[in-house]
Amino acid sequence: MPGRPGILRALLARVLGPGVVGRSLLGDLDEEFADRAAADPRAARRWYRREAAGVMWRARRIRTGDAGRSWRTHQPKGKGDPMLQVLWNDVKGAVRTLRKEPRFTIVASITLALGVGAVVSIFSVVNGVLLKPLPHPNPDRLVNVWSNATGLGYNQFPLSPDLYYFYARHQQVFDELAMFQRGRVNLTDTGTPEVIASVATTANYFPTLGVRMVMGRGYRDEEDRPDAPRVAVVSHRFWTNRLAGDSAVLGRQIRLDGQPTEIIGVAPAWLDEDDSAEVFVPTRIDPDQPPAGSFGWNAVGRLRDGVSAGEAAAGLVPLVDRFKEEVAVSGNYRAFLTKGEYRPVVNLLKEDVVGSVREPLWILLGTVGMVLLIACANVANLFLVRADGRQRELAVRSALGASRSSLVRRVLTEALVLASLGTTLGVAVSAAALPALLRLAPGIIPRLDQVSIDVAVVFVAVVAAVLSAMVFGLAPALRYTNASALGALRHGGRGGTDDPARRRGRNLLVVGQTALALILLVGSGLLVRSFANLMATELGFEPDRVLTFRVALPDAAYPESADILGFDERLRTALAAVPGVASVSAVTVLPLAAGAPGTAHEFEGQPIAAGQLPPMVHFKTVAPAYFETMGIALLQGRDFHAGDTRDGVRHVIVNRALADLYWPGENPLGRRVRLGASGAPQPMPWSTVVGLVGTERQDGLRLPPRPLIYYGFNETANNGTPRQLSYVAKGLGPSVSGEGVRQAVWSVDASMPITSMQTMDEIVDGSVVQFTFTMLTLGIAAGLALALGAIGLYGVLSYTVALRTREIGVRLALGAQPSRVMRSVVLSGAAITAVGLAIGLAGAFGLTRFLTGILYETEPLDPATFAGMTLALFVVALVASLLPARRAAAVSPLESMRTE
Amino acid sequence: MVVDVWIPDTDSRETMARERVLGEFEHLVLLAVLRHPAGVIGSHIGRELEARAGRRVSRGALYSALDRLEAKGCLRWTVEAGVPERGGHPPRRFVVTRTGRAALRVYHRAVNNLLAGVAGRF
Repeated sequence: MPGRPGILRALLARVLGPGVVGRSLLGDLDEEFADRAAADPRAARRWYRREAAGVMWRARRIRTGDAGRSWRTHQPKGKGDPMLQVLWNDVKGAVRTLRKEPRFTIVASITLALGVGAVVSIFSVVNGVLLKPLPHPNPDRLVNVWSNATGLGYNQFPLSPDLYYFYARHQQVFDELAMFQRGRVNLTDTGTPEVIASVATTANYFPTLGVRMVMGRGYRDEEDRPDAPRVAVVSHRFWTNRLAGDSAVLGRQIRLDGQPTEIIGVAPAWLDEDDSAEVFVPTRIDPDQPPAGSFGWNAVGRLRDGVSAGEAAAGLVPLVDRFKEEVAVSGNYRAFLTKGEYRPVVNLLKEDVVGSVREPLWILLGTVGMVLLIACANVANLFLVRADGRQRELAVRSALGASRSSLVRRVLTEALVLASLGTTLGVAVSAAALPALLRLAPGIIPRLDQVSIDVAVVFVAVVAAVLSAMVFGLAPALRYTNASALGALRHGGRGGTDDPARRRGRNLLVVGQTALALILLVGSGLLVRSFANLMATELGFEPDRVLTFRVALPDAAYPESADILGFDERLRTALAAVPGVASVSAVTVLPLAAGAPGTAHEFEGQPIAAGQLPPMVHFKTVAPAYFETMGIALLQGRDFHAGDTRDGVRHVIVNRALADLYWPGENPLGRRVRLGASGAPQPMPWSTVVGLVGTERQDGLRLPPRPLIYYGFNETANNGTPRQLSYVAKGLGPSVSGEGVRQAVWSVDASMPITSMQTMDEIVDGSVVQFTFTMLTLGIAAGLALALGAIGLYGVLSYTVALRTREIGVRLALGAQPSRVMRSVVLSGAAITAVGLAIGLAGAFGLTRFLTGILYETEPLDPATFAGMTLALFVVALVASLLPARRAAAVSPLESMRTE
Repeated sequence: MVVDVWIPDTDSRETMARERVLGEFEHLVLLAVLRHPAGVIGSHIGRELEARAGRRVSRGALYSALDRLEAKGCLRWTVEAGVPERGGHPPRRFVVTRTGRAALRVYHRAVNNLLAGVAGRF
C-alpha cells in the first residue's frame, strides 16, 4: 500500500502481536487509511501516524490493565489469570519432559540435592546460632562488661566486685548493671548427691535481663547481704525435673552446699540453655565492703537508649580513673590498674555467646555455597549435553511459531522444576542429617538448641533453588534458542556436532568447577596441616591412662582446712587401693582447662620499685605425685612430699617456662618467691623452690605455655585450702575403672557428688573439638567438590569423544596411532584442568586468608599445601580423562562410519 | 468463514449488577454499535462516532473502550474473513448484548429521571 508509514505499521504489528484482535485492529487502521488516502494522502498519513501511536500507547495499558485481559492471549477455555495458565502449562510440560528422561532427572536432582542439602544444613546452624536473636526482651541492648589489661598481656577477663559497685554507683550509660558469678553447688537432700550449675547474682540481675518469674519473685537487695537468710530462685528446668513442677514449691527448703535455702521464685523456661544455671542465689557480698581486686565476677548491663556498646565502654573509662584515686589505694592495686593499662570492655551479649564460632560458621557456609555452585555447574553441563539432543525439538517448535522468549521460558521452567525437586530432596536429606551433624558438635557451638529447619531456612532453600536453576538453566536456554542454533533444522544437521562455541561453554563450566574444587581442597589441606601441627604440639604431660574427676567439698561438712586435708589424704589412699591404679594425685586446675589463677608475686633479688607493677604469676596447688601421675618431667630437685610442712620452710615447684623467664640460665633450686609485692603492709612468707618441672600446656593447645608456680596442697593450711579439686589417677592397664573410683570416693564420704569424670585423652580431644569439627566439615565439602569436579570433567570429555567418534574413526582409518588419539584426549582434559587450576590458585590465594584465625602454625599461603593440592587435583583430573581417552583409542573406524 | 470466539457469560445477574456502570465515552460507543442491528465492523464505529457525535475519536481510546465494554459483557464480537484492502487482516463485527442493552436502559432511565423538569434550563 503506497504512502503508508511502513516502519510505524511494522512496529504496531509487533506491539499488537499475532492474535486475532491485534490483527483485526491492524486491518481496521489499514482499511480506514485506504479510504482517507483516496481523498487526501498527506492528511491520511498524518492521521495514521497519530492513531497508530495512540493505539500503541493504549495497547500496553489495555493489555495489562482495565479489562484484565490481553488482546493477544484470548484463551477460550482459560480460567483465572492467563499468566498463571501459561505458567501452569509450562510446568506441566516440563514435568512431562523430565519424566521421559528418568536417568537425567535422577542424576541431576541428586547432584542438586547434595549441594542444597549441604547449604541448608549449614545455614540452619548459622541461622539458629548466629542470626536468631537471644530470647531476652530487647536483646540488642544487653551487654557484658569485662576488663582488659593489655599491659599485662591479659585480654578480656572478668570484673572485681569493688569495681562493679563503683561502676554501679556512678555510671551513666546503663539502665541497669548487675553482677554475677557462675559456679557449682552441691545439692544434697534430693536423692543422690549432685553437683549442679549455679549462679550467684546481685538482686538486680533479673530486672537487667528482663526476666519475669513464672512463680514467686526474685530476691531483694536486703537479701543479698552476708548475713541474710539464704534464699534461691530455681530455674524452670530445676523446677520441672527435680521438683516435678510442683505449684506449692515456694517457701520450700533445699540444701545447697549443706546450707538450708528457701526457694522464693521460679525462673522462666527461656532462660534455660545447655549447661545454664539450675539455681540462682544472691552474691552475699556487702556493697559497702566488697572484696577488692578479685577479678572473678561478670557483669551484665542493659544499655541506656541511644548508647552503643563502644560508647558505654568509653563512658566507664573516667570511672576507672576516679576508682584509682578514690578506692584502689594500695600501691599494688593502683599499679595493676595503671601499668596494666586497665580498660573496661563492653561487648554485646550475643557477641560473647557466639563470637568464637562466628568465623568458622560463615566459612563453612561459604564452603558449602561453593559445593552448591559446583553441583550447579555439573547440572548445567548435563543440561547442555541434553540440549544438544533436543536441538531438533526446539527448532521445530520455533518453526511452528514459538517465540524465543517462550522457548527460553520453557527451558527455564524445566530447570526450575528440576531445582524444586533437588531442593525438596536436599531439605529432606538435611532434615535427616542435621541431628547427626549436631551430634558431631557437642558443647562447642552455643545455642545449638535453636537450630531447626524453620521458615527462614526453607526460604533460603527456595532462594538457593531459584538461583541454582538460573545458574544451570539460563546458559543452555539462551544458547539453544538463538537464531543460529535454531537454524540447525534448516541445515539438515542432526544437532550434536562438536561446535566450538558449545564446547567452550562446557569447558568453561569444568574450568569453574576445577577452580572451586581447588579452593576447597587448599582450604581443607591447610586445616589438616594445622591439625597435624596441633596434634604434634608438646603437651608437656602424658594423657594416656589418666582418669580425672572433680569434687567440691562443702563448707558445712568440711569447715576447716584440716578437714579438707584429711579428706584428701583419705581419698588418695582409697584411690591408690583401687585395683589397676598406679598413682594418684590432686590438683586445683587440670591442664588445657585455662583458669589457673594469677596473682602478684615477688622474686627474691628482683625487688619491685614503688608504684611498679609486680609480676603476675599463675599458680596451681597440687598434692604429692601430681607430676608422676601426669607424666610431667621432673627436671631438677624433688616433688612435694607429706613431710614438707614439718621443717617450717615453705616449698614451691616451678616449671621450665617460669625459670627461663625469671632466672634465665641460672639454677632455680633454692631461689625464693612470695605472694604479693614488697611494701605490702604484712609481707607474705618466702617459699623456696625445691623442684623444676617440664612445662605443661595450661591454657589450651593453641595458646603458648604459661609460666607456673606449683604450691603444695599440704602447705595451704594457713591461706585457704582449696575446696574444688580435680583428682587424677594413672592406670597400670589400658584404663582405670570409673566404678572403682566412685566406690573409693563414697567409701570416704558417701554424700560426696562426683562430676566431670573424664580421661585426660578426652580432655585433650575436647580442647580441639571445635577445630576438628571445622576441619571435618570442610574436608567433607572438599571431598564432595573433588568428586563432583572429577565427574564433571569425565562427563565433558566422554561427551566430546562421543561427538568426535566419526572424526577419530577417520583419523584411525588414515593410519593415526591409537596412542596419539588417546594422548590428544588426555591433553585436552589436562588443558581444561590447567586453566581451572590457575584460576583456582588465584582464588585460593585470595580466600585462604579468611582461615588465618583458625589455622595453627600454618601459613594461609603455605606453599606445600598449595602445591600438593594442585598436584592431587591434577592427578584426579588425568585419571578422569583417561577413561574417555581409552574409549577414543578403541574406536573402530568401520563402526564409526556406520553411526551416521 | 465465521468463527465464534469467546462469548462472555452475559446472562448472569451478578455480572449485570456488577458491571453495568458505563463511562460517558463507553455509553457513546455502545450507542454507535447499537445503531447497526446486524453488528458493525470496528473501523466503522470510529467514523460513525465522529460523524454523529461531532468529536474526534482517538482510535486507541476507541479500542480500549471496546475492550472494556466486552469485558463488562455489553458487547461481543465475531471474526470475519479478511479482504485485500485490509491487508488480509480479519475484521471483527461487534454487536450489543442483552447485558449491554440492559445497561443502556438503566443509564437512560437515570438520565430521564434527572432530566425531568430541568431540560428547559440549559
